[in-house]
Amino acid sequence: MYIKTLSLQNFRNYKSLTVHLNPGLNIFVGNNAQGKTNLLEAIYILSLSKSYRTGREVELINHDENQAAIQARIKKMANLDLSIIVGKDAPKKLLVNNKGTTSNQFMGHLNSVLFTPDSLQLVKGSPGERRRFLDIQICQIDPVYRTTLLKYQRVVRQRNSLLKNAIEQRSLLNQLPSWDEQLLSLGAKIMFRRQDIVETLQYHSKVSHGKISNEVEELTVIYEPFFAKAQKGKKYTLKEIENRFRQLLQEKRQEEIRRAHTLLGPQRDDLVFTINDLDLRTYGSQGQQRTAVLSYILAELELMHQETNEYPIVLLDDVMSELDKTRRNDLVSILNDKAQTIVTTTDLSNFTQEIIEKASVFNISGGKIIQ
Amino acid sequence: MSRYPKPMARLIEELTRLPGIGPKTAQRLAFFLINQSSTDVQSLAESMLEAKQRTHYCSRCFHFTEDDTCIICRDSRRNENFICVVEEPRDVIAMERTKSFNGVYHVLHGSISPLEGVGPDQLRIKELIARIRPEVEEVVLATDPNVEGEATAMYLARVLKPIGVKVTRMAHGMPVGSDLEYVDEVTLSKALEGRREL
Repeated sequence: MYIKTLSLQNFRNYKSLTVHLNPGLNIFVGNNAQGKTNLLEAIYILSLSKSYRTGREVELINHDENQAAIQARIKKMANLDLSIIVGKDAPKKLLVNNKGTTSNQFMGHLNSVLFTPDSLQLVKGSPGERRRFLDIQICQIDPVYRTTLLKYQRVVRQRNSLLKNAIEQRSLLNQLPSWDEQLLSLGAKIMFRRQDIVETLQYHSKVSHGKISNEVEELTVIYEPFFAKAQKGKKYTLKEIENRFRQLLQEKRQEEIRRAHTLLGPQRDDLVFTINDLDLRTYGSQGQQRTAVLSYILAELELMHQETNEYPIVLLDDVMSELDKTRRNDLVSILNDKAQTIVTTTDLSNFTQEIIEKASVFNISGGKIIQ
Repeated sequence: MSRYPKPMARLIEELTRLPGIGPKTAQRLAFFLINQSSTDVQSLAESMLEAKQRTHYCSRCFHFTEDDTCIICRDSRRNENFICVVEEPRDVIAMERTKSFNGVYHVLHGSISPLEGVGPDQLRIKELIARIRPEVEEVVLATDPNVEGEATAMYLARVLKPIGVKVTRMAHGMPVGSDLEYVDEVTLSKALEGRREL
């Protein structure tokens, strides 16, 4: 799968742009604030139907304009046309082959993996970051997970609101058990799926990390359910997750009521990275942490390939300068021949002449491509 | 709005308050109404007022009615010991279209939603409990299959079961008359969960 053509109309700082992309490596070069990241954002939006940079979609529309459009022709077995139209007053339109559809049906047509300088914080960053990363991954390949997650988040919001209202009116607590049932059954499904996906990611991360580190280091990625410490090789059944969750809900009931907040559930899960069985968060050097993130991202590619039979589009936003020469070359050579890769950089000398010759290079300045 | 004569501007503003109607549709409707004959417009205005004044809730099931009790509650051929609980009057209409339910209804007028400040006390739940006499055979919960509807059903099950009545929940399943391959993933996985032994 690769993007053949990407067109933007009135999107951010682009008035009108059409670009034909290389099935392999594409390098967008330019100074800061010229619109390189906007291109990656556009592709990301086509992939997940919303932006990672803003929740306010009007921001996507060029000033003085009323609507923005992103279109792409994708080559799978056959051609596939995806487009999104964001209007100032009209609801967002999602089109697959020119036919309107819902965001749930829209997602999954164009899978992508995004890697920004922030991603390098994955190991050290907050558990929330790691969960978000994992959820974006699973949501792209699993529509049932998508729906379950949305429902679960709604249950948590309702339940939190109930606990808060109950501070004033204790009698409301008699409806808590009715919310617990859904919290449990939806929550356990989410956790079971996460555990399953992390196991696959673990396998692939180990392989790619072995390659990058010349088999000196062994990387492990472990799913840490909210109710137990991460344990290598531990697998829970759905029933076990439900039972443990149920038991804790009983035990923590009074504390939840006192703190007027839902304290349990997959919104407290985490991922733990270790190298040779040492926790990377505390014991890893910065270099090791970055290599681990790279391996994890490469594992995401393999996971998507395994689940969908196709490699996702890889979006690398300004990360080349963050990596040293060896890691840079490792990354590009592993990606080569596998996945369409779209890279932004301020400095073309980050790449070797050999890589540049095979790639398509575009110079970006002020929302235009300059040949 | 100042471009319009005052009475017309008021009409547009009133129409904009209706659900699903934005400023543009409101303008279109206003233009249409003004071009209609006075008798037609009067008939529309009267029908609105009459519907509002003469419709209220059935004293038993809280469905809409003109009289004290609704047509369904008054129908002696219906099994008054089989109660179907729904969220809204329009759900009664939907169930009635099936022509396969011969029991009676109970309309809650909403679902439990703490975010909107709706709890059991804001719904017609006390009235439902009062209807559960020993002769009642079954209560089927037909609240919406979203998180609020599920929570409402769970809540009702917890209060009704101790009374000793049989409580059932509508099934989630495959749409009838469609091929398996065309059913969306979410519905299909729900149907798989709710499979039954033959």
